Amino acid sequence: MTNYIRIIDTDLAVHVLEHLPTPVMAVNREMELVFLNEAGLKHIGRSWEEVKGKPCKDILQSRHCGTSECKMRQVMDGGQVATVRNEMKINGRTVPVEYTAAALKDQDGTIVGGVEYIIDITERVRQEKKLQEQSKTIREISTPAIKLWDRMVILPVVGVVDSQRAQQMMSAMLQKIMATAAKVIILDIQGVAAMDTAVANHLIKIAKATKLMGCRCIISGITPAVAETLVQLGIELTDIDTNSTLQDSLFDAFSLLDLTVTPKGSKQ
Amino acid sequence: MQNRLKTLHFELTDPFDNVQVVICCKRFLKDLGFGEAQQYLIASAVSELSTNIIRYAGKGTISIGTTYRNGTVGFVVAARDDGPGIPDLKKAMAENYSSGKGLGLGLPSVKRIMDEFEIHSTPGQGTRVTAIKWLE
Amino acid sequence: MKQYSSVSALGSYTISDCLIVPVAPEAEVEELQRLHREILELVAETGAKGVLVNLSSVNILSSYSFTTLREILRGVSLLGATGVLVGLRPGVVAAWVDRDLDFSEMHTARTMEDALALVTTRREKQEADAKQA
Repeated sequence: MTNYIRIIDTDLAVHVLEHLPTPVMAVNREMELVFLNEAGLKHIGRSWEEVKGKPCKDILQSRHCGTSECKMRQVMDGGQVATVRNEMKINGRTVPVEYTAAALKDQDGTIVGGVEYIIDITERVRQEKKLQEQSKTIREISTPAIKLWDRMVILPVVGVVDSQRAQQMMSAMLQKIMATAAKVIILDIQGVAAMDTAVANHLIKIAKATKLMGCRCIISGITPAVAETLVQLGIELTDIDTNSTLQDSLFDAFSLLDLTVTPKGSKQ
Repeated sequence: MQNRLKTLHFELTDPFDNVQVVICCKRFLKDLGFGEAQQYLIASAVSELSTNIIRYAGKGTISIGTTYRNGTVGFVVAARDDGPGIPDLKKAMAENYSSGKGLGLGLPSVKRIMDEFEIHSTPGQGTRVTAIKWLE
Repeated sequence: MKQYSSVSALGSYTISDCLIVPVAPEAEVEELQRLHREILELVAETGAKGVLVNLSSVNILSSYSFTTLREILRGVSLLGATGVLVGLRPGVVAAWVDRDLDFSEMHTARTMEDALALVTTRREKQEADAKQA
C-alpha cells in the first residue's frame, strides 16, 4: 500500500474546501453532517450552526435522500466511489445535480463517514435535452413521403435507418398511401449509408405493408454496393420489385399506372 | 496519413448512436483507401454489430482502428458489451439462426464480409467481437 | 352501368360479377366467421368471379380476424373466384406487419375500382390461359 506522506497545512486545507465554489459535504457513520462548506450552506440558505450534526437527508432533501439510491450510504457500506445524477431543491427550485461520494477512512482504514461534492448540471441537462430535440427533429424531417404524381408516392431514404426511424417511415408512408390512394410507391434507398440485416428487415416490412395497403412497392437505388451487401447478408428481396436507378423505377411506376412518357411532338 | 487514423471509440446507448458509428466508419474506411463498394459493405457489417449491441445488450462500445501485418493495412473493429451474452454461440453462428426478431443472419454475415472474425461470449457477462478486413 | 343484382342480409351486393362485402367498423371474429359461410354460399350460388371485402372502415383487426380473412380468400379461390381485401387501414396494416403474419397469395387493393380492375385482369388472364390449353 502506498502511503502519501505529506505535510498538510490544516488551516489552508479547510480554507480551500470552504472556498471551493461547489458544495462539499461530509457526514459521520450516522449520516449526520460534520462538514458543509460555504457554497453548500449558500445553496440551502442556512447557517452552519443551524445544520451542524443534523441528518443530511433532512438538510439536502434530494431525490436520493433516505432511499437505497443514496451513494453516500453505499460507499459507507463498502461500495466504490461513484458519480451519479440526482435532483435537489436549491432556493426552492428543483435543480439537476451530479454528486460524487467517497468513504472517509481513519488511519486504520476503518470507514468513519463519507464525503461528497455536488455539481449543478442544469446547463448540461439543458444541452442534452436540446440535442435530443434536435435529433428528433432531424429524424422527422428526414422521412418525407412525397406525392410525385396522381396515385404515385416516393419515399427517399437518406442516412442511417434505425428502428425508430423505420417506424416513422412506415407510418408516414401508410398515411400518405391512405391520403392519396396511391397505387405505387417508390422507396429510394440510394442515400442509405449502410445496409445491415435490421435495415433490410425494415425495408422488407415496409414493402409488405405497402402490399397490404393495396399498393405496389418499387425499391430503387440498388447500387452494385447495395446488391453485393444484400447478397453477403443472405437477404433475398423476393416479391419486391427493385431497380438500380430512380429513372428506371419511375418508368416502371408510370407503366403500372398505364402511363407512358413520350418526348414532346413525337408520334403516339 | 496513417498517423491520422487513430482509433475511434463510440459509446452506444441509444439507437440513434448507430448513425455516428456508420458515418464515421465510412469516412475512416475512405481515408484508409477502401473503395466505395467496400466502404458500404464493411460499414454495413459494423452497423450490424452496433445494432446488435443496442438491441440485445442496451449499451456497449464499438471501436474502429487500423492494424498492420506483413506490410498490409487492415481495418479492425471491436464490439463489446456487458449484456446477457449469447447462450449458444455455435447456433448463433449457424446460418439462418434467429434469436428473436429480425432476420437472424446477423453474425454469420459479419463473419462472411470480414476477413478475420473472433467472438467470445459468456452468458450473463457479455459479448466481445473483433473483426478485421485487409486492404487488398 | 353498375347493377345491383342481389343483396344479402349482411349488406353484400354484386357489381359486374363481383360480390362486394362491407365489413362493419367494430366487426369481431364471430361476425367474420358468419361472413365466411355466407360469402362462400353466395359465390357458389351466383357464380361471382370476384369477392371484394371492404375493410376501409375497420380500425382494429386481431390476428384471429386475419386468419379468418385469409380462410375466406382461400375458400373463394377454391371456388374459382378472386378474393380481394380492399382499403385496409394504416393501423391494421402496421399491426399485422409487426406480427410477422404470412401475406403471400393475398390480393389487396386500395380502392373498389382497383379491386374490380384486378379481378377483371385475372379473369381475362385465366380465360386466355384456358384458350391456350
